Amino acid sequence: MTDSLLTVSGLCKNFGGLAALDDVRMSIRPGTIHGLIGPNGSGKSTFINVVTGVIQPNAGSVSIGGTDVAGRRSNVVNAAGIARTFQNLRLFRAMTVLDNVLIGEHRHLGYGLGSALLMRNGPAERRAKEQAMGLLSDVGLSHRAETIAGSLPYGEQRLLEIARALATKPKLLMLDEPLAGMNPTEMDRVVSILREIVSRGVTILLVEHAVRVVMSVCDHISVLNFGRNIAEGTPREIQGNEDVIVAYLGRRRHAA
Amino acid sequence: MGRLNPLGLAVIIAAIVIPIFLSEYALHLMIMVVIFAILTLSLNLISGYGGLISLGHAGFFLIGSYTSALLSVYQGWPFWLSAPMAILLTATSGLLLGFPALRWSGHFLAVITIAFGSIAQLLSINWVFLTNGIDGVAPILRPYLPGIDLTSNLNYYYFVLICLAFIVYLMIRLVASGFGRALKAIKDDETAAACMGIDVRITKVSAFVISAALAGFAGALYAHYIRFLNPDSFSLDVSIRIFMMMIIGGTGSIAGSILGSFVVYVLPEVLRPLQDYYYLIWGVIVIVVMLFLPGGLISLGSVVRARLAERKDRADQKIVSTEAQP
Amino acid sequence: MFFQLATSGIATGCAYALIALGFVMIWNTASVVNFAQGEFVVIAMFVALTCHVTLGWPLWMVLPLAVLLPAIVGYATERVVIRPVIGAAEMTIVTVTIGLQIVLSDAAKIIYGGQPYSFPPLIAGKPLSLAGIVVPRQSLVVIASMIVLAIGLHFLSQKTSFGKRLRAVSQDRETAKLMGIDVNRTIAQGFALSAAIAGFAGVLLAPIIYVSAGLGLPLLIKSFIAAIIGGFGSYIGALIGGLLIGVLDNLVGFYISSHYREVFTFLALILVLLFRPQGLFPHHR
Repeated sequence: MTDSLLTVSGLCKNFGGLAALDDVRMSIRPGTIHGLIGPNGSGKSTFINVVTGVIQPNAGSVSIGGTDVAGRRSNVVNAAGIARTFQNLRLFRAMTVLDNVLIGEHRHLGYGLGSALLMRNGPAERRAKEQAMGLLSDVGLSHRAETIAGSLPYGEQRLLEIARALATKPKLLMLDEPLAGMNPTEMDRVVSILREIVSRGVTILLVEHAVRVVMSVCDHISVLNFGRNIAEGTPREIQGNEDVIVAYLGRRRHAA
Repeated sequence: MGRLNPLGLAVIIAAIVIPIFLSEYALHLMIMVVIFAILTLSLNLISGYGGLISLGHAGFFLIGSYTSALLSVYQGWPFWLSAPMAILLTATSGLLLGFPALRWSGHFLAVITIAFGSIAQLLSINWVFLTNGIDGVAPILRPYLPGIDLTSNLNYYYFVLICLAFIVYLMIRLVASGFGRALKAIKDDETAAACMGIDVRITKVSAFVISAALAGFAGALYAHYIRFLNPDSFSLDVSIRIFMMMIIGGTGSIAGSILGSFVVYVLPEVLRPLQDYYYLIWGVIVIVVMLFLPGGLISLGSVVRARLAERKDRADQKIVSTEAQP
Repeated sequence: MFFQLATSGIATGCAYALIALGFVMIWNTASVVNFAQGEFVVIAMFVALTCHVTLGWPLWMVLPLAVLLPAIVGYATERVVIRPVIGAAEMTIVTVTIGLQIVLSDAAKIIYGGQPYSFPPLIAGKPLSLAGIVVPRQSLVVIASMIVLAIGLHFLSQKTSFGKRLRAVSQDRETAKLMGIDVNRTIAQGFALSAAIAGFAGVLLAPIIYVSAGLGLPLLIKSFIAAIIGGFGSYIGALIGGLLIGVLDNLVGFYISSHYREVFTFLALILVLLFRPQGLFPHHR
């Protein structure tokens, strides 16, 4: 399995006796859009939180490009190549749009405290700003660069989250419901942005409620229910999978 | 912050010109305001930009003061060596305290820093062999500067003012740099900042160390100004006062810290006729400012402007709606 | 000697424990760290001093008054200054309660001056000798009162509707609101109750230490630390943390030096935070 970018196995997380993740495995091939779906409360967001070090796992391994990052701090996970967006939007609301993206670039700025105090950070800051502006124009927000992030309309905040995450130069981008609350036009725009991102060599994990979109853009899909893997395969395979259909219809076959 | 408005320019000119005409006592107040402004700025770096509560800055102030004073009185070091040593030692103590303590935030950190400040003061009282206890350390010499007599209080005022200007400049640089941005991001949302690759712990500890170093420098300036040190000047009250200066002036604002230091240091003089009632009035002022101006005094202008604009908007709307009537 | 010291430490510790208990109660219900909590103790002490020592009223009349007045002040301050800032930045809340602390402690100083007053023992008579340990009657009164109060509070919290409301608000303010609980009223009543507990502690403490206007802040810090050592948010933790601090205080005061009492309290805090940051009796929400 050397050709997988992210390998997760045996991942477990309990919240006070309740298993939010139970022996979850996942393998994401580089250069793909990998979908992660499942009914409400199936553990999708918990999966992202545990992989990115926001929540500590109880057991399991997470490896990105050969580096083991299970249980490491979020900034270490990010440095290893995983960036993410947040389902409930966690922008730096008091900062400008441009500064939000510059935070993403922080690790790559290449100047320390000393040079900042000695005024020798000019060139590095300028380069970072150019790159940040480039990312903003990729998601169509360059005209908003000086706006305070918290005052952006909802859809644009979601786009800014994507630009900010891309600024960390990840190998794998985890998107937690990037289409939530968007109208069809905005959704189309995001989908085309996602395709553009992948074409530049960034792999994507897409957690989404809009199953139709997932089916149309993803190369491969994993399905969770009650914190367990219940299906795995191409969109076509998933569409025909009985377990998945039952999970979404809300009946538990095994309970009968 | 970067642009200087006419009001700011007027304040700077006043700070340079007015002291020439001040009485010796008023000049003393001004020197203390400037020293406390440096302390408040040092606290503002971690609280205003990093969101960390410290009620122990008098501890760093103490370590800085005593280090410079003891080296100068007992070892004969000149200020130009003892002050850097004071900065170094407070930075080190900031590191030793910050590394374990910054795992906590909010009220936990508040009480840990209270503990730190109190331990520092208790040691300065009881470690008589080193600090001479409550009898204090004296006489501490003023810094020697060729051609300028710093034993004159007016000259010393300009000396500390230049130090303040330099520190303001450092703060502006720091806040505008990637480091300052990272600090603000952590204050806004620690989890999100970490997920964007910012090492939260290192950033916080660095800010804490810089803050401690600045407070230590203020301590050295104080020791060589006042020329007699005694543990009384470094109590919890002083830490709380520095905290109040920052909050009342305006958290996260450099100008606010300076304004806060001025108001909080000079207010007792203005309210002197009230005597015993002073603290009571002071407490009421603190509460009132927090309830009605949570952004501190520095936000007064923008709050008033926003209110006026709001009123104007409402008036405009009224005109529009009456016009819309057939 | 060791047990002797420990026993009298328990008496002071009981008072710290009660202050810590009220402090934690406010934190749990309103997410407010109340730096003015120690002033409620001081108010009660001066009520007791004036009524009992100056006016010569009997203790059974003084005690309810000394509990009621802080409760009224606690309720009023919540309504006037705390409620507007609930939910604001932690730094704003801390500042407001420090402002409150300054106002209350200076008011006490204006009325009573800065000097210490001594307060007679709550109960007269020779110290009792129990298994070779000499115990002042006063200490027994304090310990017994605390036990009774702790049981009473437990009953209040488990059996009465007020206690249930208080617990619901502590657990989740939003849900409590949805369930139709008047959250603001409950928080105000929680303030009153915690101030009343502090007042009770003040009466118990008055004969053990000298009464003075400046006591509030040091007492608050002691009990704050007790609460953290016990496990912040936990009532049992607050009680046991308070007792531990009281005993530690007494032992250090005798065996090392009374100058270093505070240093050791702070060191205990730092050790606990380093090696058992959740406290001795962790709080589970």
